[in-house]
Amino acid sequence: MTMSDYKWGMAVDIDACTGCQACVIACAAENNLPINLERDFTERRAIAWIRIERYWEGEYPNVHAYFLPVLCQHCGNAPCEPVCPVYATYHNPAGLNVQVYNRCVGTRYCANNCPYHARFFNYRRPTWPETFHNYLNPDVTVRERGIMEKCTFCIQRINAAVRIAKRTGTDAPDHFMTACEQACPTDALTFGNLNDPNSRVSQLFADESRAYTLQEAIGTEPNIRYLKGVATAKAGSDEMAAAAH
Amino acid sequence: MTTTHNGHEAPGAPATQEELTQELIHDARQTGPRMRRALWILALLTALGATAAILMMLGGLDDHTRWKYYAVAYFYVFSLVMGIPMAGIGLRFARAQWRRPTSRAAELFALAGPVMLVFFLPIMAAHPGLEGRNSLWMDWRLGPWFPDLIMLTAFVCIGLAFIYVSVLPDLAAVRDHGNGRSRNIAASLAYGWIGTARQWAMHKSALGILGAMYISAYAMTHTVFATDFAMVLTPGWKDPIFPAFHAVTGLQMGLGLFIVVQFALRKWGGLARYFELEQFWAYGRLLLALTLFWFYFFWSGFILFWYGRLPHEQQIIALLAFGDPAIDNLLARPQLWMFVGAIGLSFITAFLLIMWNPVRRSILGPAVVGVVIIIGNFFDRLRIYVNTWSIEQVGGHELHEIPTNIGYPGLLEILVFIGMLSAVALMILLASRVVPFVSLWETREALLLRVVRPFGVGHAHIVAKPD
Amino acid sequence: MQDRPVLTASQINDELLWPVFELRRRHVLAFLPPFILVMAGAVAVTILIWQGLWITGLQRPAFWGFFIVNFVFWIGVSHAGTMISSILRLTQAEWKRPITRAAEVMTVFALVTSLIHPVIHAGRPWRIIYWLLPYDFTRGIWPDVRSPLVWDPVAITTYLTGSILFVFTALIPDFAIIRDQSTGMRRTIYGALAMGWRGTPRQWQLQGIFGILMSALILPVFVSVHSIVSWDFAASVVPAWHVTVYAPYFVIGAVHSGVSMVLTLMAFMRWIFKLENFIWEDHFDAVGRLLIFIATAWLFFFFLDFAFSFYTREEQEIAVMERRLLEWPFNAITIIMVMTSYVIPIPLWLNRKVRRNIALMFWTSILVNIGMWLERFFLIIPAIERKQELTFLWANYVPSLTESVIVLASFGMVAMLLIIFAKLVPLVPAWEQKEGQVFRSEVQIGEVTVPAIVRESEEPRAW
Repeated sequence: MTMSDYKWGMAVDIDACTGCQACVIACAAENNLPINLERDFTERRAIAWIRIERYWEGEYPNVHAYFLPVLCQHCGNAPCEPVCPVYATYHNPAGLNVQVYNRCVGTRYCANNCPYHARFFNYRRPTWPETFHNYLNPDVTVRERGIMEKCTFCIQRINAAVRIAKRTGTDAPDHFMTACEQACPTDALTFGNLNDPNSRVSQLFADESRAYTLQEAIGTEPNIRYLKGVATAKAGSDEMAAAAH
Repeated sequence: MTTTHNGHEAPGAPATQEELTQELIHDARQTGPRMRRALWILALLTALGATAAILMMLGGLDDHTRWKYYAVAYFYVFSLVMGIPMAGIGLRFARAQWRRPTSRAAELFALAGPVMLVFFLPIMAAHPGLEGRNSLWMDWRLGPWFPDLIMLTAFVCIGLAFIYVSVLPDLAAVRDHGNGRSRNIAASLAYGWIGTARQWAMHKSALGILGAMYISAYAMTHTVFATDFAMVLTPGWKDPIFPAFHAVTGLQMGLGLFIVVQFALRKWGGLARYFELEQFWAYGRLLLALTLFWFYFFWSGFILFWYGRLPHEQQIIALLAFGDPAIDNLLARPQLWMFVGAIGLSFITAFLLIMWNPVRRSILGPAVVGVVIIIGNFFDRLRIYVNTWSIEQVGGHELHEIPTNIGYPGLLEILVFIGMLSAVALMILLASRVVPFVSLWETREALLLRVVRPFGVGHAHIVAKPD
Repeated sequence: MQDRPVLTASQINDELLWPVFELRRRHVLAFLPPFILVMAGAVAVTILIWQGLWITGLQRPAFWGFFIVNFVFWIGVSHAGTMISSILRLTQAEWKRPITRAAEVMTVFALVTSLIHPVIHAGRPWRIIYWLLPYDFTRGIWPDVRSPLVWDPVAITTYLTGSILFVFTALIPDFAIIRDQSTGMRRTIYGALAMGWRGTPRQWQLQGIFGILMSALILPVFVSVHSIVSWDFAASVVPAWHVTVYAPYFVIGAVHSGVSMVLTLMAFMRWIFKLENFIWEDHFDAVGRLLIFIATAWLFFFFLDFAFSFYTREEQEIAVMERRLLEWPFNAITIIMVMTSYVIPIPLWLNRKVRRNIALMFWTSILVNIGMWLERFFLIIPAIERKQELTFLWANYVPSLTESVIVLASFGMVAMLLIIFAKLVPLVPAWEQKEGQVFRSEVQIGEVTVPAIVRESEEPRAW
């Protein structure tokens, strides 16, 4: 199988999400994210490739919290791609938005044009305490100061799985997970190959009554769909907007 | 060829104030039998057009899609004629000397105002209202009818006031030097103008103020018309440059028509010495600038819709330019053909012609380009108004289907179109029976301000610049 | 009429060329404040590059801030030169003569200054050359021409090249004057710069043709530069940036601020270099009249942008407008912007007495530039602070001290470069001035003598 036989996607079940943030931690550990200090949060420069957005609905005491895990949507028609002057972000054959760290000069135009706020800039040189040096994932590049980074769908795991599949001659390697999916206690995140109609993620995508994409009106054609069990699931993006205000 | 007082050869211009008065007040305003016949035909066509408009109204105002060709006719004629006075006003502000013999012919087009006001009433009544639509007027119940009518009325009144003030000294000249019925009309209109210094000072500041008001009213009327009668009817179309595009294309086609009118006055009006190469060359340059503006304002909107790739904006591009992408046969996309006609003639052909100095620097060149632009912009108004008035869907943030029910104009619509044009021509020709097509006071002022003196080895024109 | 002094050619030389040949205290004093600002800016830029962008106030989602606002502002100011020299040359406005060079040179310096901003604003400035030049040939990777950030350097460097050529050709006759009046090293250098100018008819003809040609050719570049800069914002999908009116709106705003800056410059030229005999009240009057039109056109586009942000009543756009109109500090910024860029200056300029009062013109032009700087801030920042529907991430941008120092230093830089330039060549073109004197004339109408101008034309004119 070649790379273009895969189209990676993810289904996010909002009804299942409890907002526990395990995915956020798992992602940081897997992908060598810098450690976010208090200062990074107050300056609003924290880097978290997946984040849980929390929206409140209703008046106290009848309050309901929504949790919306947002990560790079790996758009089919990505606004971030054409605006990069140096091709540091591009679309790979497997449907991923790939960030090439070495090419990036840090214009941050991609981040401005991302409707999902899914791109992060390294304002500081990432540092880790001495004791953490052996903890870093050797499969993932440590990013320099002054470049953009974002969710890669754990591309190191994808590549490893595809390599193994190629070597063993098996079909779609649907048995590996991204870090966030692996950490999710409620199975809210489901990652897989969208080109395989039997994969779990394809079946979830096909769920007309629940699946929608975030900010559909922008026409980004994301590879992530959100699942929400309400009567007006199709109008979900509008509803999220309404909930947001 | 006449010769100026110091023996310098100059094409055409009368040498003395007396010659000028003689020619403009007596010779140029003879109403011959041919003119009489033309006036009658125009009056007949106007009456037919008005009748057709009434018949259309009797046919029903509920379904706005039936009015699309009326909208095209109205907004085309409106854009065509109401911008022409700007040629006089703008160049007076710019203190361009060469415009002096031509200003009057441009400003007379402000007389088209009442015609535009009358023919506006049916289209206003046919407007489907704002319910469920985006609009500038928020949820105001009277919008768009009330504000647009007020705007147009103000515009027309300013135009009439302007042309009246502008011709006032000439009316007095006709009163003093003219004869016959036109003298009596002029005498009653001139109202005590005797040309004191105080009157001239007031005249100058009134022209300044009214001119500035005309420019603002022109921009604002185009803005509300373009918004309320095209953009509002199209779900998902938000395009703040479009009103400016509408206004600029109005100027371009107006100038195109004006150059053609000058050509006609030169050829058949016996006014060749006033509409000289110098004027055509200068207006040709302006036409080049406005042609480039046509493209710039179009492109400013188009590139963003095209580049942004937002679904609702792609639909607008389909509606106004490329047609429904679902139709593979390009010949079967009417929108595409209107668009090709518009940009092909108004910009590409016009630009490729007028960009050459030999074309600009001729009498025929700018006139031919003027004709091309007039036709091209007809396609442009067709593209805008037919397509938007064919949409039945009300409201929403996205246009769901590109209308296919374009159809062809009926006899009534064609009669209305011809009627509007005839009415405008009739107004101007009638006015020209009282005041000359060339402003007497501006040309007389020009004679005062220009001098030919020896300069170096030859002679040079010296233009006085009073403050 | 009353103060339109007639000078002989040698008087013109003396009055215009003194800064080249001697150093007066006034010149040094004028140099010092901008120099100090530039030094402060240099320190700030060094710290910025050494430390990284964390010392700015940039965060998420406001990834662009003061630097970009200032970049747009200086690109805007650079539109003055072309407006004054090219458009007024093509429309044969005689009054442009003494201010052409200052305006063109300001264009060049404003462009140079503005070019610094995108460089220091990038995450890795040392790699920014990748933007401008194709790199990595072996792998066939080129800059992405789809990106507005590639259109930017192309447009700006074209404009910069054109403007430098424009300035240089207009300088050649003046270089020759200085060459002829000096000795030694200075004579050698200016001799080289004058490129063998002897003032033969053929040389003058070529210089004239080049001027006209360049004026016409640079106009499309002039319009495209700021349109492209505006598309940096408008080509994105950020709701209040993705506005079709941006291109002409930015261009007309640019001309507004640029021509106002020329007014400021004219006042300084009168005060520092004592050019009263060249820059008259008439010139302030003419620029003021021009500005009334430009400002009103700007107001029209401002109105279009403003009115249409409520047109669809989409929540993000309303949120941006709420930020602009109701929330501190943008409510103050909006009011100051509208007042200073239109409401205060334009009614004043309508009055002929004000237009001929140099101090008032100076202060109103300063007001306009405050307003136009704030206008760029007003347009760019709130939209990005309230980007898209994910309200969870909306945030307010607070610029840091470093950024503010660099912004102030940019003003110092343009001023400093202009003052250095004034030491090297006259700020008022001596040859244009002499040509202007030849073309000046007077016409007697009745009892009044009216200033008049000789019109160049190859064939006799009727009107």
